[in-house]
Amino acid sequence: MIRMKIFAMLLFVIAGSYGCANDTSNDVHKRIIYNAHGLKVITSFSNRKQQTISILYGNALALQSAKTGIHDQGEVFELVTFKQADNKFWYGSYINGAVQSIELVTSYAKDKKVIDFNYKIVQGQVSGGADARINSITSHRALLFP
Amino acid sequence: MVSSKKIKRLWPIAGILLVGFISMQFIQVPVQNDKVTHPINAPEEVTKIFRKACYDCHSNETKFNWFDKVAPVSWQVDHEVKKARSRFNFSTFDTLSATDQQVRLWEMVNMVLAGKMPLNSYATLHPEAKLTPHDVEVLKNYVVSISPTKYHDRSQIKSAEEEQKVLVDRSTASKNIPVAPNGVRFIPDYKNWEVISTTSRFDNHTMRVIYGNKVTVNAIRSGRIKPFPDGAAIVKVVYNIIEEKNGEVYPGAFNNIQIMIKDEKRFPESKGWGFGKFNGTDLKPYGKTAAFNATCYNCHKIADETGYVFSIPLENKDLK
Ligand code: HEC
Ligand code: HEC
Repeated sequence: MIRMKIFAMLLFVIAGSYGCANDTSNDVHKRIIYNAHGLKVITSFSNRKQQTISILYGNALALQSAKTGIHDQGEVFELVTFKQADNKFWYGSYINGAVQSIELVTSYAKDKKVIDFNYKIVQGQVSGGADARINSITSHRALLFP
Repeated sequence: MVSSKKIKRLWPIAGILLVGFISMQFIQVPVQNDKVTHPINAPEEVTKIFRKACYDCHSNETKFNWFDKVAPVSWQVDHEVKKARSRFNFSTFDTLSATDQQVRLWEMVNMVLAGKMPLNSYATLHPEAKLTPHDVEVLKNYVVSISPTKYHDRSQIKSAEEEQKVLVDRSTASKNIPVAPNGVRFIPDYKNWEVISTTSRFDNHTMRVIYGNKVTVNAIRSGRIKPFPDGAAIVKVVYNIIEEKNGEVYPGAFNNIQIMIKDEKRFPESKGWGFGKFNGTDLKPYGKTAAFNATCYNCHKIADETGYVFSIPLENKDLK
C-alpha cells in the first residue's frame, strides 16, 4: 500500500516537472512584469519622438529626496526605459513594451558635507555622459500617490 | 419515401405553426423612431460612415429591411435597438458635454477596431454596413483631430508645481477610506504593490501608472487571466500630462485613481469585476448610484480577450 502511495507521488512529481518544462517552451505567450525588487515608483515619463516610456524607481531614501530635493547617502535610483508599444485594445494609448535600458544611480557620502553619486548602465545603451545622466535621474520630482 | 398519408397527417401541424407564426407578429410593438433633436455635429465624411454602419441601432433613424421586421427576428432586433439607443444615440448626441462626446467617439473607434461594432449578427445580414479600411482611417483621424495636443501647457505646469508644495508638507495621517457607490473601497496600500504597466494616452492627454496586487501579478505571470481569479485587484493612478514639441511627455497634476477588484459573487453582472473611481486629491468617489459600474464594464468589454483588462503587459511575441 505504502509503496503504491510513494509510486503515485513520484508520478505526480514527474508529471509536475514535465508541466513546468512545457510552460517555458510556451514562452511566446508569456507576459513579463518588470521586477523592481521592492523599489517604489518615483515618477514616470515618456518620449513620443524616441518612442520610449520610462519608470523611475527608488528606495525609501531616493523617494524622500525626490520629494524634498535634498539628497542623502544610501539613495538608490533605478531608471527603466521601455520601448513604447501600441496598446493592443485601445487606439489612443501607448503602453510599455520591451525593456530598452536600465540605469542605476546610488548616492554616497564623499565627505561629511558632500553627497556624490555613482552611475551604472545595467542593461542596454544610453546616450549622454554619466554626469548628465546622474543630473537628469536625480532631479525628477516625486509623483503624488494619494 | 414518405407516404402521402403521412404528409396528410402533417397538414394540421403546419397549420398550427402558421397561425402561431402570424400571431407572433402582433406580440410586440416594433421600435418607434423618436424625433431627431440634437444630431451629432461632425464632418459629413464622418457622419456618412456612422449613418451606414451604426444608425440602424444607435439613432432615431432606424431603417430596417423586411426580414428585420418579421418575428422572431424582430424581437431580437427591437431588443438590440433599445439597448443600443440607451447607451448613446446619434440623434441626441449633441446634448452630451464636449468631453463626454469625445470619450464616446474614441470608444466607438475602438469598438470598431476590436471588431465588436457593428454587431456581427447585423453585419452578416447587412453587408453594406461593413466599414472599409478607408472608413476606419477617416474615423481615427477624426478623433485625433478633436483631441489636439496643447504643447507646453502653462496651466498644467503651474498646477504640477502647486502639487509639489503639497507633497512636501502633506502629513501621511490616515484619513477615512473613500467608498464608491457600489461598495468598492479605495485601497491605500497599492503603493506597495508591483507595477504591471504604465501607459501614455494621446486621446485624453493623461498618463497612468498601473499596479496589481499579488493575485493579479501571479495571474498575469502564469497566464491565468481568462478569467482573472477572485481576489485580483488593479489600481490605476492617472495624471495629466505636459507635452513638449521635442516629444517629451512628463506628468502634470494628479487627476484620479481607478480600481478594479475581482469578486464573482459580488459583481456577477460585470463578469466579476467591481469598479471604483476616486477623483482629485481628496479622492471623491465617482458615480451617483451603483449603476455606474455598468458604464465602466461596457467599455472594458473591448478587452474581453485579456480578462477585461486593457493594460496588461504584452505577450513576449509582441515585444519588439
Ligand atoms: C445591430 C445593432 C447595432 C449596430 C448596427 C451598432 N451597434 Fe453599437 N451597440 C449595439 C448594442 C446592442 C450595444 C450594447 C452591447 C452590450 O454592451 O451588450 C452596443 C454598444 C456599443 C458601444 C458601447 C457603448 C457603451 O455602453 O459603452 C459602442 C461604443 C458602440 N456600440 C458603437 C457602435 C458603432 C460605432 C457602430 C457603427 C460602426 C455600432 N455601434 C453599430 C448595437 C448596435
Ligand atoms: C470609454 C472606455 C472606458 C470606460 C468608460 C472606462 N474605462 Fe477603464 N480603461 C479604459 C482603457 C482604454 C484603459 C487602458 C488604457 C489606459 O489606461 O491607458 C482602461 C484601464 C482601466 C484600469 C486599469 C486596468 C486596465 O483595464 O487596463 C482600471 C482600473 C480602470 N480602467 C477602471 C475603470 C473604471 C473604474 C471605470 C468607470 C468609472 C472605467 N475604467 C471606465 C477604457 C475605459
